[in-house]
Amino acid sequence: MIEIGVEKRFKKLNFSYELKTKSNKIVLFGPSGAGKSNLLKMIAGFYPPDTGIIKVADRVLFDSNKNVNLPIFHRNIGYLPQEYTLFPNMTVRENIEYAVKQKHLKIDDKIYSEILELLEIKEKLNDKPSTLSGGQKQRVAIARAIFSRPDILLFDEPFSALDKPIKEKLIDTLMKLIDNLVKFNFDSEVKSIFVTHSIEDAYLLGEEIAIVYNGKIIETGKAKEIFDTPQFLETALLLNFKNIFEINEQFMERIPILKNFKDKNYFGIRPENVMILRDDASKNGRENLLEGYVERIKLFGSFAEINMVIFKKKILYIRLPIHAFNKLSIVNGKRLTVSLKTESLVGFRGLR
Amino acid sequence: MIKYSDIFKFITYLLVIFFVILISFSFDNLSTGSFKTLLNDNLFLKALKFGILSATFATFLSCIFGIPAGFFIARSKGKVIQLIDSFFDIPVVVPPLIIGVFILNFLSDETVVKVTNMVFTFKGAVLAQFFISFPFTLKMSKNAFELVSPIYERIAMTLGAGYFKSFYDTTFKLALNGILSGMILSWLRSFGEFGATLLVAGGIRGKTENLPIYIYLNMMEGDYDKGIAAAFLGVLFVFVFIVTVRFIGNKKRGDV
Repeated sequence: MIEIGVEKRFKKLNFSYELKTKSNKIVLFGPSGAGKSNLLKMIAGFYPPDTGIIKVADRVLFDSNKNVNLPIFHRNIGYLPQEYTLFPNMTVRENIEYAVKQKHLKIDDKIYSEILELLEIKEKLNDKPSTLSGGQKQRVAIARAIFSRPDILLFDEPFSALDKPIKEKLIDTLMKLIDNLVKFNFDSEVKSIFVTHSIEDAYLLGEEIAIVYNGKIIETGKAKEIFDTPQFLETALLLNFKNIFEINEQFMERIPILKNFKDKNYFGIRPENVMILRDDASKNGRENLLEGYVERIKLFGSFAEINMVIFKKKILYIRLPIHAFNKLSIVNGKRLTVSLKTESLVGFRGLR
Repeated sequence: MIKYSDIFKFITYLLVIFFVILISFSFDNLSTGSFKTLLNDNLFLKALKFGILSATFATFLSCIFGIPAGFFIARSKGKVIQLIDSFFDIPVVVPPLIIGVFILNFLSDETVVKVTNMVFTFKGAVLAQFFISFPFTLKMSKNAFELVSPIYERIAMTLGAGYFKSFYDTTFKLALNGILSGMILSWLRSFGEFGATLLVAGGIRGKTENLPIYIYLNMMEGDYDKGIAAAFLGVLFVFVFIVTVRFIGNKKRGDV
């Protein structure tokens, strides 16, 4: 259980976060500067919130009412920031075993070598960090954090400096490792919070997603729910919904179902859920039809994206697999009719 | 085409040659005999001991004050801190004699004398040398601390190390080379200190004279041979000292 309700004032921005979850893998997702790292640093104890409470696994780390503010070294956390933080004056082994010495922990030899093998750093134990690649450095940092037996691991975009293939492989390894920590006889499940501004990473990392925007957590939920049906316009924009429109008379005329979208001022549909009708196809029985012409075609290898101009110069993005695109003989200027599947339409509210 | 790096190289060597010529002119007055008399001179050995001891104590004090102050300034921002930082430049740029005047005035004050009498004593010499030389430890520590990111300390704390331990294991050890350079400079500055030490400690023969004061007093008394021989030994001593320390430093840096 993680329970957070804190406020912090800075000169330019006020932060207030509310988060209560039983999930063990949480992703804080939001644009740069939204305050994701700030929250992580407050959990770590790098600086205190002005008011509020932070509770992780039934331990109170901070409580302004009761004057509780545990020092960093009593919080039992692992923290991995974006920059490389291996102690340059120590070997890989000394780095990994640092917490074991500080906290007088006992680590089973078998578990020790299993984890090092999984992270592929067993051969590097006697090397200095300066001889490692970026990916290796973060692997060692993960091992170092895990052997400190934390209640919670805080990841502040630790892989953002790495190349994509290396990053993806590392995330796979990390997820495997975290899932197996119980098997490795670590006392309890280790919780983790990941901060990221990349949608792909958010998909890969989290069970539960918290959307951070302008110093606030605007919505929280299971990853799939949030990605498929976000509640707020801001979330939809962050999640790259692409087709987002204000609900107005013209749209309600063409898409009658929008009249049922009570207390929503916007609607959206992902580009891959827009269906193009073949020239010879009958329009009868098709729902939510929109007409327009092709303005631009972008080819991305495995799929194509078409910008279609609908009424009032609004642009509807359509995405389709390349084999489907090839069959349709679409060229610039061609008139198209598309159908929006009702179940793919999502309504949003603006924050204000 | 002459490359600028060649010109710079030429200038560097020219400087070395100037310096060697400068020293070699005093060779005329040197003989093995003068070294022998010097080493048999009880006053010389006393001055050497006095110089080494007072410089060591002064450096010790410089560490106690200079390293923490250097850390504080390195981690702080703001105009007041900048002002304090510049304030500590004073002992480096003001002639030592003037610093000596200030210290002497302070120590001669009736209330201070009631507490401790340091004028014309070993303690006085240490105090004078401390004020002249602590900025080296402070500045070099500050520069070294500035190069170490504070994140290491925080990470060490997340791994269970307390406030002091996390500082010592990471920031301090990573800055140690810089701090040591500062300490060496402080020690050498103290060892070669003349003006303030002479004024505060009095330069009493066999009691409060260090190497520079010994050389000065001998020259004043007309004993050129001893003075020049002592000067040579001083240069040699300092040179060997620096080279050794550099060598050890480089070797250590090699493993990081």
